Amino acid sequence: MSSRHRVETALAHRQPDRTPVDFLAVPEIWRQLVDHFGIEAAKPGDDQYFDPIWEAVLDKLDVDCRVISFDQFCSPPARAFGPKGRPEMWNVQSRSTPARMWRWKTDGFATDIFGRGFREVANTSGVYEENIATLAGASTLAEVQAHTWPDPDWWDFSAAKSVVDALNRDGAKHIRFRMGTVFELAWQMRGMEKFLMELAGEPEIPVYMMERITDITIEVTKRALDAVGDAVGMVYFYDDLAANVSLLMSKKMWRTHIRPMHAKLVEVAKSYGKKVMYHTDGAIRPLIPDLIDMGVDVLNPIQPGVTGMEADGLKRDFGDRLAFHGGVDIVGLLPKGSPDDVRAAVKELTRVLGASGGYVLASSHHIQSDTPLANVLALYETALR
Amino acid sequence: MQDWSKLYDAIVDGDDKTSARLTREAIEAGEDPSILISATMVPAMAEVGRLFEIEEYFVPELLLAGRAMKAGLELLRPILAASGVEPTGRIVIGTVKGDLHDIGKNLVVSMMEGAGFEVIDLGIDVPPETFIEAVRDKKPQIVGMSALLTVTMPAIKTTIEAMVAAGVRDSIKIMIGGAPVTEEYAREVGADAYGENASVAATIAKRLCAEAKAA
Repeated sequence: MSSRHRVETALAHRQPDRTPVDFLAVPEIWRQLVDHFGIEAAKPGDDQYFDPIWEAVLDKLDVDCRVISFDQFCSPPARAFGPKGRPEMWNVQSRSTPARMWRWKTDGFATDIFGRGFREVANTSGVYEENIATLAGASTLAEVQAHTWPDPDWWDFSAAKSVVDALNRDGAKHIRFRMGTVFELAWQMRGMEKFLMELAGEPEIPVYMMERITDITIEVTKRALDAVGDAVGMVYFYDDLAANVSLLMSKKMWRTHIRPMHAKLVEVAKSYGKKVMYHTDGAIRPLIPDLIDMGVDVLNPIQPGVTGMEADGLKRDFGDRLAFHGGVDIVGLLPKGSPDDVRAAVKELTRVLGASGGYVLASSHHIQSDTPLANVLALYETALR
Repeated sequence: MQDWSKLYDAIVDGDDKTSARLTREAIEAGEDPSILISATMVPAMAEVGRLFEIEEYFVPELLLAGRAMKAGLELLRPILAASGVEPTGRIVIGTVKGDLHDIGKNLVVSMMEGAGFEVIDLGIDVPPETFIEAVRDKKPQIVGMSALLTVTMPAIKTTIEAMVAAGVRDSIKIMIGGAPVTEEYAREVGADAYGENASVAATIAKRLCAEAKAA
């Protein structure tokens, strides 16, 4: 069974030969795996779309899924961000996949395609990119409108078909297109507290931002899907909408302001006949019936230990209409458990969530830098699933 | 005391302008600020906490109510300071070193202030020495620490260890919180309490503060 066939069988709620897997990890874990497998390859240049070194890690772990991302195919003109700084595609701290990204870097500070700001912060076991709200200071809608929003013409998908073909060179992989995010991107640009308070009180600015982002994302997604054709089986977008015990906002507020944007994203994917995967952290159960109703096919990441997201309950209540992606605990199990604990969890998740298909095994978020390598390797032992 | 239930409503409804206006009126009417806080503002934030617990309110409503409460509180603070009234207790709070997340911590600050505490907010990415310095200078009953990531959570432990080494640990109660933090972790690192959310944290802080004062 090819990887693509394996994932598609699972997403069609039938039993594949074995449970398909995906891989998400922070750069420190990728680097440990590169060393472990003794992978040697040239570092990618700016004309490449994927890092061949990290690609080889996915091959070694027998990972079935691949992602092409909207930002791989975007080259904003320097005039939009200059005069100081330079574009950077590979040396990006939050790059957690083999795909290149796009940042405009100046000293200690970086901006993405949408003008969202980042700076790098060190912690006890690594470094991560922290968001800086670049539109926090705007006091009028006109100021937000005057922001340099990306132009879909900054994107060029002419290489996209050959890029996905290259991913499939050793057998068909299940490839999804990463559309991006709406709510999360908007609040990260505006600042979460300000954004949420405005959304609850005077929503003009947040709504404008989300509509603008949605329109751009839809146009870019259409161009991407036109270019790649059948090679891409699914699209995916992400917007975290819940904390560990409850939603981030009331269901009413979500239905008024967020659902319409997401429904448009789902609609464009469906118009191309693609499956849709949606990522949101947290206790999202109250929204699941709406998500299914909107046309979401796959939910990620099934965060363990949060209210209402128990694997057996989700499978029982929604498993016939919704497939699941994720589920392996990155907070307790992977950093603190033994390899045998990991093996037991894989078996259990495969049994529960993978009954009659409907499951892609993966960590519940990026595997963090505090996870022992032995646990990462145990997670990917194919014999377990 | 006059009926300030409209101020109570303004805070619960998250209306900062009305809250400030009514507080100003109360001051002009010669209302005792500490009674205004204890009889109107604290119960209003307790109601907000209750609505949050039963999932009638979510983070946006909590933020709005916190802002409305602060709009009134800021007008009362100078008067309180001048009259030498003691707050319920004093809390030093911050997000630990290496972690820049402050939304959860800010919600806790709101709820603590709403419970009548004086809160000294050290902000984000706070090194252990800054916590220690604040304990020495401000003499709080409670120190609160927050971490959002498993990779920054160990900084809670190192901060507590640094406080032990500096000899200030025994003078305070330590509360910790944040997405990866658990009751078990709090015990493991020697914290005195874990707050699952902002509302619970305020309730626990009142208890700890009473214990600290009794001790």
